Amino acid sequence: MTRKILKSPQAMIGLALIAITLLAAVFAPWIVPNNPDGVSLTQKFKAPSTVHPLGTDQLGRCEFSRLVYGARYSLGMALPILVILGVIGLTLGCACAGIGGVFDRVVTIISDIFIAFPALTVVAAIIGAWGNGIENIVLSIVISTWAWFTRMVRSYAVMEMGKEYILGARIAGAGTMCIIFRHVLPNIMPQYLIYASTGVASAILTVSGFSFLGLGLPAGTPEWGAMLSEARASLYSHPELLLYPGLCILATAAGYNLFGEALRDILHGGSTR
Amino acid sequence: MNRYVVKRFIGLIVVLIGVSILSFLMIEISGTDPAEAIARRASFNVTREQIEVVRLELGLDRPIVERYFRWLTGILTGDAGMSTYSNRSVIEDLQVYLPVTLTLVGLSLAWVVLFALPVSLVCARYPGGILDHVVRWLTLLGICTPTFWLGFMLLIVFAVRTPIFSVLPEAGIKGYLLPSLTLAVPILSAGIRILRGSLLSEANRDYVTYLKARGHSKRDILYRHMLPNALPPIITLFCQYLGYLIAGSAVVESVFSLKGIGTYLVGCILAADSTAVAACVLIVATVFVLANLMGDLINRTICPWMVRETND
Repeated sequence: MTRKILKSPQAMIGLALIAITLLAAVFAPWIVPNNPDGVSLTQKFKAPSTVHPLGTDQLGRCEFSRLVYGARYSLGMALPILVILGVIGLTLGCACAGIGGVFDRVVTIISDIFIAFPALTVVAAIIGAWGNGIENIVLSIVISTWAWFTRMVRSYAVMEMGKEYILGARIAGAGTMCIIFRHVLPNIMPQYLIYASTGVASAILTVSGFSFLGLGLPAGTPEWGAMLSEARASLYSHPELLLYPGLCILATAAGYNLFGEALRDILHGGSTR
Repeated sequence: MNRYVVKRFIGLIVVLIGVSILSFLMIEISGTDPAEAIARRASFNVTREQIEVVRLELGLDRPIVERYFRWLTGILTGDAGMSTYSNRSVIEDLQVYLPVTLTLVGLSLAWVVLFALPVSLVCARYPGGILDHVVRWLTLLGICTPTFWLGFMLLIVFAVRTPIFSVLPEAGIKGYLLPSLTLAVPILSAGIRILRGSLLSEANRDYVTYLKARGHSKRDILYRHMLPNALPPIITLFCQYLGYLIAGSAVVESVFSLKGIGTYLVGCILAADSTAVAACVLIVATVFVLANLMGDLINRTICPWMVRETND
């Protein structure tokens, strides 16, 4: 498996993009040449130079430094979202497959209800109630997406539970808990990883979309979506300020999508390639 | 089939009741006091007594269950309350903003149908060809592209550099061309990928081998036999997006300065207008649930074999 990943160029490009953004996020303070929030009105709209590798924005802040710090916000929100969704999805999905009956029906109906609310509507309620804040954005994306994760894990787990080897394990005397942890979970893990990988990509897009709309983050935050929104006034004079943050979002999302897809090709023998 | 439809409709009603309860709870948890908001609309300096009078008048002191039923009957009879954001009734607002969003969503779905079918058919006809590879990479970019960024790039290229379109909204269908294209790109990309994938997985089925052996032409097999069988996943996706697009258009409306339901919803959120938010949320969620049901029913009509496989 690891060898196949190393041999697939698509997976490696994906991994490289993931690694670059992760490193940028972790080591941001050591990478950036300037303070990302250092406003200097005499320095605004400067062309790229050795001091400011990508020039400066409408408030004279170093564009490159802000982009590097932006990785912290994107990944800092997308990764926790993914961890929480993973815990909820795997627990509830496996519980549905293992317990079945009324419990399964009730969880299915509740997730059907939650699926009907797009993230924007949930964010509407949460930000209205508790105000702006990174944790409120994380919470609302979790509320609007947990049902998709649960539904997906449930369908894979139910499919796995129906296989003959599970019946064999039961006859051999294995309990439900043992079957779920020893057999079902490890077997649905690859499918789950594919789903989760593309899940990170869409979480990154959703988060940046919200900050573009001005929901969730205080003004002036070096987040890619928010930077794009602030740069829109320079549409005519400095379109490059609109170009950079979008490319960062695109590259980050592409990393996870490329990797997830390469993983799927490897697992399914490339039939959907 | 009929038993299935009845079952789905009962499920639909249960889900819609849940959706309406959650939407109503959004007003409750929002922390804004509607009585105070309405009283403040009349004058800036309101006393506690005035707020209490409004509360009693509007029945906001009643228990939550009673208020829920009053709110629901209100919405069902076309009275969703007053918006403190626009100072008009929410229904009036929706009559202004909803058509804009529906035109936008309708046009972008038209783009999807127009391009997804032919492109994926060509890709499935010649898998591994140059076009197939190009499409594969382009659609991958398409699903990773933030729509607001794509919108700005289209504006820079087609409105700033070569002024074919205007940056400000234009009257008529021309004003919707760029926005709908922007909104369509991610779905179009996802759609092409899914349809191409399901067409190719049909190619390995026994019936295709049989048809080849019988001497049917490649074209005939692809269009008459594989295509209908490969459609269900994309119809499901299409109908899921129908509901999601109405909320997802907020970003695109903001880029192109269109006044649709998305910008209205964002404005209401920022103005803490919970009454209007709840009404919008209920509408978006209901459209989503109905569109999904529609997708499932269409799938079962064009693919009767699904009835046998799902066993009910």
